[in-house]
Parts: sequence; structure tokens; C-alpha cells
Amino acid sequence: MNNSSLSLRTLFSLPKPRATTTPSNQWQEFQSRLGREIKTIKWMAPMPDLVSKVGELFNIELPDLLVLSWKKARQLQDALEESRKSPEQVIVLDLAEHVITNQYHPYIEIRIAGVPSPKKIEFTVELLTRLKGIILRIQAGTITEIEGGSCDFEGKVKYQDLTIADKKLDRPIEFRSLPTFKKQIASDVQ
Amino acid sequence: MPDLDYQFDAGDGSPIEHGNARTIRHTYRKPSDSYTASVTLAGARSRGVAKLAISADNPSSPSPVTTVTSAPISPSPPSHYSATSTPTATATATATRTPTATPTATAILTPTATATATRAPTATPTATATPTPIPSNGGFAWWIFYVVSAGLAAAALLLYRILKWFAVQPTVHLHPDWDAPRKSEENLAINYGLYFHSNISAGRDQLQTDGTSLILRKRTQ
Repeated sequence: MNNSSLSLRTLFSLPKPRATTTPSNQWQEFQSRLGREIKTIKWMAPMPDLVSKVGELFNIELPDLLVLSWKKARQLQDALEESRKSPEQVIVLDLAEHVITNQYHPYIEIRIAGVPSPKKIEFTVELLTRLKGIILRIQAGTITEIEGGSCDFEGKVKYQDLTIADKKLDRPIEFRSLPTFKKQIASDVQ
Repeated sequence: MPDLDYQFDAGDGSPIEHGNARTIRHTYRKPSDSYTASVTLAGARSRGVAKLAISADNPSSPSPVTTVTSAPISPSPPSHYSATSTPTATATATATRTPTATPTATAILTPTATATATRAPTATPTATATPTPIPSNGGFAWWIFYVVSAGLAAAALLLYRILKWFAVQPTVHLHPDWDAPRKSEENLAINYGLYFHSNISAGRDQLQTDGTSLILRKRTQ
């Protein structure tokens, strides 16, 4: 698994916006259902190709999600606080094998001028990662890099009661010197 | 009242007298007995009966038993005479006794009758124009009206569709004017926005280890 493509869109094999390949049956069902949903919006002009936009919603990197989860762990918070006190110092942490389960509800909001309440297309994302041999580098109160380790990944993406993606990787993802997005994640948490 | 028939029954077994006269005179052969005299008024559309008790005890002031009864005559009159026709009949009777050497009793029955009738329409039929009777239960045959109306409506709808089919045929006009100057489309801008909410900060997550500490080793560089 190439570390440069660890977004949820890639991991769930969601179609690219202008993909020419035939989508899966689940995705086709999602397309038709979303089309019916959009038709309920009273709009004279044709609706943009919303389905192709859904992929953008899942352009979230898996390591960023993991960093957010790690930052909620008490022991890591203590280590981050310690590094904040001495910002020049780089601290390397070896983590024990652990499992992180996540559930998110990302959504797309369609706002149209003149329509009082926006249309909301909400998804449910369930992730389960088993992490082994993770080595984190922290500095100045932030996780700056995942030096190494691997994770098994499985997850689902649902729209209403329809599962549009269900993925379980048969090979673990290897992390090798993977820098994290410090600024964004730091602002998300704080 | 020329259209009323007066039927007098003295009540002593003598024959009933018919006629148009409003007053009759009748002598009872046995004045000691009591009688019930009656007069029946039969009109074109109603009937009334008045009864009078006559006795030797008080022959000069007979008391009416029944002043009047009135009932409509069936079958009903033709509908163009309308249901508002309300003929009524009333009757009163008096009796007097004339003492003679031979005891006799004389009862004078003087019925009075009034009858009113209204017709609708108000046009007064003449003698030469005999109204044509219409079956009493018929009235106007509404079902014919409904059937005809429905048929006309269906025909009108069918005609409209046929005319529309021939008159409003879409036509296609091709304008292969490639060299014509192009004008940018106007008033087609739609103000809409797609907002993506990854919502990752609001997600629920759980971190589990197998009982050991999450951080196995910490070193500084």
C-alpha cells in the first residue's frame, strides 16, 4: 500500500469524479437513490453531478484520523504536554499494539438561494484499525510524524440504510516516515 | 261551491242525500231517539266530514261531534298543479226542533265550506286548454338529462383532444446559423453551494490496548 494514497476515498475505492469504469452495484444504487433525493428539491435548473462530488468528501487521510484519536488518549496527551514545555526537544514514542474504532458522520450540504432549509446528505463512516509497531515523533505539543508501524484496515460507508462501500484490506498498511498535517490537526483538536 | 258535493246523512236510516245545496231539512219520525247526523263535503282534492249529535233532551242546541275532518284525495293532482294546492273544507251543522202536536224533530244541517287552492305555475288554464296529465310519479326524467349531459361532455372532451392533436403538433425548426454571432446565455446563473463537512472532529472513536500501557517506550532526541 502506497503511503501517498491513504485517503478514505482511495481506501474505500470510491469512484473518481470522472471515472470511466463501471461503478459497483452498491454505488449505482446510491446514485439512483441520491438522484431521487435531489429531485425533491424544487429547482428549475439541472442539479450538478453531485455523485461525482461525494468522492471529495472522503478526501480525508487515514493518518490524520489516527492522529486525532491518539491525541485523545490520556498518556499521549501527557507526552504532548511535556513536549510543549520544551519545544526544541523531539520525543519519540513507541506505542503498544492497539485498536482504534471510529465513527463519523460527514455530510454534504446543498444550499440554494431561495430555499429556506438546505438539503443535507449525510453518511455514516465506520472504521476499525489495528495498529502494530507504531512509532510517533512529537515536538512542541504536536505529532509531527509517524515514523513507522502498520495497520490493518476495515470499514464501511453507509448512506441511510444502504452500504455503499465495505472494505477490509487483506494486507496491512505500512507507515514509513509519514509526516502528519500539524497545523490543521492541531487546530481541529484545540 | 259548485265543485263540492254535499252528502247529508240524517243518521236515522233514511237514504243519504246528495246535492249542491248547502242546506237540507229533515224530519225525524222518532224524536225521542238520539241521532248522529253527518254531512260530508267532497271536493276535487279533499274531503270533509261534520257530525252532529241530535237528541230529544236538547234538540235546539245540538252539539257537533266532529266539527270537520279534511283529508287530501289521492291520487294527487297533476304535478303542474303543484303540491302547494291546499284545498280545505270545513263544515258546521245546527239543528232545531219545532214542537208540533205530533212530536217530530227537525234537524237543519247547514254546512259551510271553503276551499282554497293554489297552482304553480300561475298561468290560469282556460276551458279549451286542458292540461295534459303527467304521470304522478314521474316528474321530470332527470336520468335522461344526466345521460345526455354526460354524453355531451364526453363528446366535447373527445373533440377537444382530437383538435389538440391536430392543432398543437410540435414543430422543429433547425437553425444552422453557425456563423451567427453567439450571445452568452443570460439569467441562467443559479446561486447554489455545496458545503463539505468531513465532521471528523465530531466523530466518536475508541482506542483499546490489550491491557498494557499505550506508550511502550519514550526517548528523546
